[in-house]
Amino acid sequence: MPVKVAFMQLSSCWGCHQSLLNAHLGLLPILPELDIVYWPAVVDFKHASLVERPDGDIVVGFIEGVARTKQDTENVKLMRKKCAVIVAIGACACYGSVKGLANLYDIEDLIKRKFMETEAITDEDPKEPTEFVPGFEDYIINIKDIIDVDMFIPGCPPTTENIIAAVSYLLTLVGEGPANLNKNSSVCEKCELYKKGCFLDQKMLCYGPITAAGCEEMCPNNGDICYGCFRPTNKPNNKAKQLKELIDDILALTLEQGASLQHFLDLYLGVSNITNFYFRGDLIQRLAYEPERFATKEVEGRVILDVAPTGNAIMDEIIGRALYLLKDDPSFKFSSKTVCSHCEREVADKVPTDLKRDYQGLPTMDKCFLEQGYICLGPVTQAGCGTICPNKANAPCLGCYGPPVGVKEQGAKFISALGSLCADKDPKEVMKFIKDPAGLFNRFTLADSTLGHKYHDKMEGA
Amino acid sequence: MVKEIVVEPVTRLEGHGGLRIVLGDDGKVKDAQFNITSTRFFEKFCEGRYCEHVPRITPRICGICPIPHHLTPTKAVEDAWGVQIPEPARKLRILLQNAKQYSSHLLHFYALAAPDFLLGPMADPALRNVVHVINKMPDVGAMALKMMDFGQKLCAAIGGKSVHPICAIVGGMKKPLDEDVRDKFLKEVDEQIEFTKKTVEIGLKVVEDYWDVVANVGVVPTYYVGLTKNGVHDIYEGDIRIVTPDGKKIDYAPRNYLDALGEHIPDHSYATHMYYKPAGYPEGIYRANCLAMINAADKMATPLADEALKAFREKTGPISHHTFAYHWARLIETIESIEIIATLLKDPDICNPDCKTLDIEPKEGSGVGVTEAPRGLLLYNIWSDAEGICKKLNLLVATNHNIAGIEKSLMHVAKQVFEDKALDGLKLPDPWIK
Repeated sequence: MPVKVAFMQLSSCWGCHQSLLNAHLGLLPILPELDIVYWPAVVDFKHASLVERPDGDIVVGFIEGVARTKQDTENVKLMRKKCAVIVAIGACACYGSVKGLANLYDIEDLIKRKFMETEAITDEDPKEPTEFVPGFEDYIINIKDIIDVDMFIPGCPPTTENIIAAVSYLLTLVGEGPANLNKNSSVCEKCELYKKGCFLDQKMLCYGPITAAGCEEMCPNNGDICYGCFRPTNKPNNKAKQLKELIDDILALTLEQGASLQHFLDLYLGVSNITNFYFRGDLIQRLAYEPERFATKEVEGRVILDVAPTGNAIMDEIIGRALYLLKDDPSFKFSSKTVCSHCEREVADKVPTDLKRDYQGLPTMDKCFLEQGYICLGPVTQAGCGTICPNKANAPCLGCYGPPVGVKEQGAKFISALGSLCADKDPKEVMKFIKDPAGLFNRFTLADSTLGHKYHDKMEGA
Repeated sequence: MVKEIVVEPVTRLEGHGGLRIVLGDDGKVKDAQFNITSTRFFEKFCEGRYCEHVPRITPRICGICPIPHHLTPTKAVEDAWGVQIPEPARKLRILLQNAKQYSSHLLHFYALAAPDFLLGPMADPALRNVVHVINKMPDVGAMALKMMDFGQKLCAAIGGKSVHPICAIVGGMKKPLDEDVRDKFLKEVDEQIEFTKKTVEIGLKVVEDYWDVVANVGVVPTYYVGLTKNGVHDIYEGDIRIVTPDGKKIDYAPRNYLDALGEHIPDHSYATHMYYKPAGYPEGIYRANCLAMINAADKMATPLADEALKAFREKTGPISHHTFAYHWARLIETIESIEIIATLLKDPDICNPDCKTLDIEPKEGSGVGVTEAPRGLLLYNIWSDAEGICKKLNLLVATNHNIAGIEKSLMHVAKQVFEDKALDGLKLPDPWIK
């Protein structure tokens, strides 16, 4: 059965659509899997048809662009109502992209320049258009601050491969799984160790009781524990209690236990550990990106994270406890690479020569841009783009994939990096060179930045 | 009772717009509006940025035509600072601009326009899309995809990325094309020329099938705006050419654009209405894009395209006001772009590392850059301060040049449909896809 999908285009450039369409012949295997119920760029369904659909009717909704107009904001909310999973696709929907730079100005100034001041205008008294147009938001608010977003695919635009990978992944989520999968049984049921004394009986972590059957129990029958790769069962085995007690009894993780729990959660619930997109439904990714989004609760005197990925009390408690143990544990590892870590340019750890503007000279292809004196956001930008700009186009990274895991403020992070790089230089000289910090360092992330937008202090009586 | 007909949104369109037609009691068309419902204020938030970074922000105006939105502001800054670029850089930019023209025109022809004609205007809207075309005509679909792929991959090879390129810099290009990459495209280009010829055959058959529609619906006399160099069709550089409804051609140097182009702020659209200033508004409303370019050109820049232009003019006369002939005009431009691509791929200059002027100083002043984007004339006017910071930016973007013209055509067609019942006797062909 094809999966119902919708593509919503807010104020944007179409580039994410073009990046998807750039798959060209690669689209042919995917198109039959999709039942496209709304995509104004490609198909003829009108807005009213989307409004008329039952809530939650659409499986995956992609949102591209920023909420610049009031209509955009309404459309964001409409999509949340109609779609089970919301994907923010592209730098606009994730961070505001360059359109977030508008937040440096008041909406009145933006309107004045566009509709009243530009040089070709000939009207005597030009005014902002107001008939049958939606009106503007005062500033760009990030989509994730308007509604809950389930997945983020960054990039301006995300590469074709990034988008296809995310779409394929989502299709596997709603698909039927392997043909021999049996969700009404667990790995324990047919495990040869079950009666003769199993890993759990020996106080070793084994996730068979809560894992769906169908795998031929290859791991336990070959002397290894079950890591849960057939994912949650609908019918956990009685031994789930033993597993829960073992995990409940852990007060601080050993390295081995930490690795076991993380390996299990990865296989049991997660997206493989790649950073081209961020799926909030993947609890391991969420633990890395936004640990603060978890609430905690107490069950039988133990603190656990309040999650319900399976809907089964004992299984959810096991997972919640495992996540809680990993949360602040040093053994929890989530690798998020930066553009630098994939870049082929040679790094000699030298301080930059004099800082240069991009029009000055021509950088060589073999050495790090920063060491050649050119501003490059590679150190503070998440990987996933294929390092096209620095390695294929001889252009420094502009930061369009946003910050890597654990970095909230891309611009501030870069300023700090630049500070240490230029430690031997006169700070005044460096500051003189940086005439547009927001445009250089927060070009794609200003709408998501702690810098916020232009404010006016309204002081009483001032 | 006043009756309102609303199309929201217009689909298979890049951008955001709706149509609104108001009919009076007497059945007469009272109003016809094209409402563009979004704008993002690039002209304001580019203020304060480094001039050389403006071309790395503005491609985000349009994801289908980011290349002209990269090259045109670069040219504007070069004009403001008085920078010359090496010839290899110029050739590489022209190759890039044509690669974009090629893929964008094919995307338009096959993905945006073809469903209307191959399925016919009466088809089920649920099926009237490119996915269905690919399903029903897999050979044509595969060919179309291979053509767009060639254009986009060439854009990526030169631009770094096909969407939002980063290759151009004030003073030239960041790097030449690598020879091994060039060789790969050279191997494929002959097949692309054959594909283009097949596409033109399909297009001409559609024109023939729908001739009654082309010749009778939406024939709207307007002014036209395009880019020509010494009268020859050019999408990278030249003069702004205005064509009057009766075919008179007037050239303006890019820096004198304000003598020719006026902007009226309508009350019902965020995209403004452009017109030919000396003729006044609304009399001077013009159209842009491929039909305008074909009307503006004395001749095409390449032999096959020029033959195609002659055949076009034999059928439509020296000036075509046929809105439906846009598709035909687009194909003539497609031929020219693949011919230019084939010629430039054989030019060793595109692999020449001498592609950047090294010694550049910012200068206070204003500069203008003009190119022809796939959807019309594109003009950037940038004001730089002495340190090379953008003080002000004026943008007259491609689609914008067409808004008033589209609305004028819409009014014309609405009257034809609702007042004159002109569609009733029209001869429509059997759809290719049933």
